[in-house]
Amino acid sequence: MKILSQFLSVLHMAVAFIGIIALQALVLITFAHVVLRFGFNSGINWSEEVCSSILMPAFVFLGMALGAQEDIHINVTVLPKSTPKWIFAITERLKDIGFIVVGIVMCYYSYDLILLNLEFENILPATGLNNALQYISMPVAGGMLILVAFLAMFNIKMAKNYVAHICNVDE
Amino acid sequence: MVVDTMGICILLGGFALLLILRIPVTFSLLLASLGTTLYLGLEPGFLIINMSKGVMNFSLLAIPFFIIAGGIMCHGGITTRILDFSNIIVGRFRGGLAQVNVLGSMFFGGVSGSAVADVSTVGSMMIPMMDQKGYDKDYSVAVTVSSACQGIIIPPSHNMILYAFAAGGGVSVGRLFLGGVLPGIMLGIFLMVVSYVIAVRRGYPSEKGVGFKKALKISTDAFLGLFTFLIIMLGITLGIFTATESAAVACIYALVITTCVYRTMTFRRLIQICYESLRTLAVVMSLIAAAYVYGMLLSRLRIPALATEGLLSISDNTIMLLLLINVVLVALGCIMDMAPLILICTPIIYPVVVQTLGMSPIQFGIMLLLNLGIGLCTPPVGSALFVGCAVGKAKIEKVSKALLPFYFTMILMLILITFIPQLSTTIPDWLMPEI
Repeated sequence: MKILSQFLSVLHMAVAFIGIIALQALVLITFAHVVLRFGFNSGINWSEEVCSSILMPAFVFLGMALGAQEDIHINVTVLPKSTPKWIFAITERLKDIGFIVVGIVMCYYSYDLILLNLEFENILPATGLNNALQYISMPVAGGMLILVAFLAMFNIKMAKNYVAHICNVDE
Repeated sequence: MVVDTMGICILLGGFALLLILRIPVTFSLLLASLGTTLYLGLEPGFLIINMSKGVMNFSLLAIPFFIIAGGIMCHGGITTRILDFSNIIVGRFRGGLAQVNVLGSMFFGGVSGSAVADVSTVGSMMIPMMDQKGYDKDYSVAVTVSSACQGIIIPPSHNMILYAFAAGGGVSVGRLFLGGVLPGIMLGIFLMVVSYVIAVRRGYPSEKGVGFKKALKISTDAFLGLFTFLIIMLGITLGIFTATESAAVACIYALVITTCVYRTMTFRRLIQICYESLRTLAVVMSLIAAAYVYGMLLSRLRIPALATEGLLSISDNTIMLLLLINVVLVALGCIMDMAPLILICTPIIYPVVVQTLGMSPIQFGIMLLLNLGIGLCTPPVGSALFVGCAVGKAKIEKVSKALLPFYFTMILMLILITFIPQLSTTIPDWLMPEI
């Protein structure tokens, strides 16, 4: 149990740092593109492709799983506070099931897309990288969603939010 | 027109049911879309391809950039400087701190573009200060919360980019930014007038003036921070760079200013800003991916066309229809957060208002954002109201009551925006005419 909680914390930290690096890379590449375009009359021709087709989906889908783990996704509070606790317990489980269903769809079908792109050797025009890279974060995010929701059903959550601790942010 | 009632029930009813069951909006959208996809006999891979397609859009990159730039400005000491600068301009009026609060939010909104960030940063400084000077707590929180609403329509606002995206990409972000300037300033002035009247009635004090030399130093200091806003607006208006590029440049500029000039930025703080931005973006961007899939199914089931037909069957009077749409949007804003509402409502209402009633997309954008902004200040789920009450340690019921004159002001502004198109279209038509 303790090992699993610890594992979730480490997984969360790894994904958060990948997201932070992707975010910083997005800013730097776009800024460098603008500077080079004005300073040297020639921008980075692969900047748009790398930013919008590779880095953006990476941090969006990993962020989606991270949001599920930290329970920060927006939901609507329609049920009044006086609702019996057992109803809230059921909705919590339903939420976990919802995460698992979405996770399975993400894992299964994105894996299919990756295989398809690899088989037909579809490439991105500017970088020449395989199209499969666009979907590479999806099975990872899907897998993380399944794992986090499945363990949450047994009340196993991450031991500590190390990133929030390092950054001095409220968890 | 063939209506697939079952499909519509699964898509709309399923979504509503999942929301009631407290499933997060992103996952409710995805699960309702998955159900509809299976019902329509489509491959679930449709979901995956469109989720990716939804976020692989270069113009959407402006959202993370604006959020990071806002974070850098918040943590980099710009808020204090903006409030000092506002104090020089309006501090000597009756109820000076309330005026400073509104003007500070106007400037700060132009930098951060987020009402909640505005309430938490400006509020955490202004509310204790107002408390100390004898202002009633409910009034201090009400001023902070209502003035934060301006941030949504004063450019640059990442919500405007969300709207431009949800409208199908046919709306210029630059024109939208310019469209928000006049209504944003007007709303600020209206709020200042209301704050002044209440301050006079309750006998709140005015602030002491500062010497010329000090005022000049404060202004220079604040201008360096406020220049971020100019970089974005001038860059886009003059066609120097796109909205996305301007946001990236603003990020780097803000980082340089806070590191080298203000000397308030450290590496650890930068990582903290990136992590906080990542958390915000995790919510907003995954919502965009889910809403894109949902939007595809909405149009596949011809729901926008049905909504147009339904609304026109109620009345063919434009004024009545616009009032009805405003009422619906304010009511929705009371129960749901801003970003999901922009992404869900725009594809449905946009065709009615823009294509059938002939409203300018810019005017509709500003109207929609202000509508949902009012929702942020109203219970039961107004996030700006909650943050304001938490920061000010005030009761929601008391603050909601104190907010009444401000609600009235915001609704008045909303009516003006709805029925006077020139308010939101004059500046964009003048500075960035449509080609």
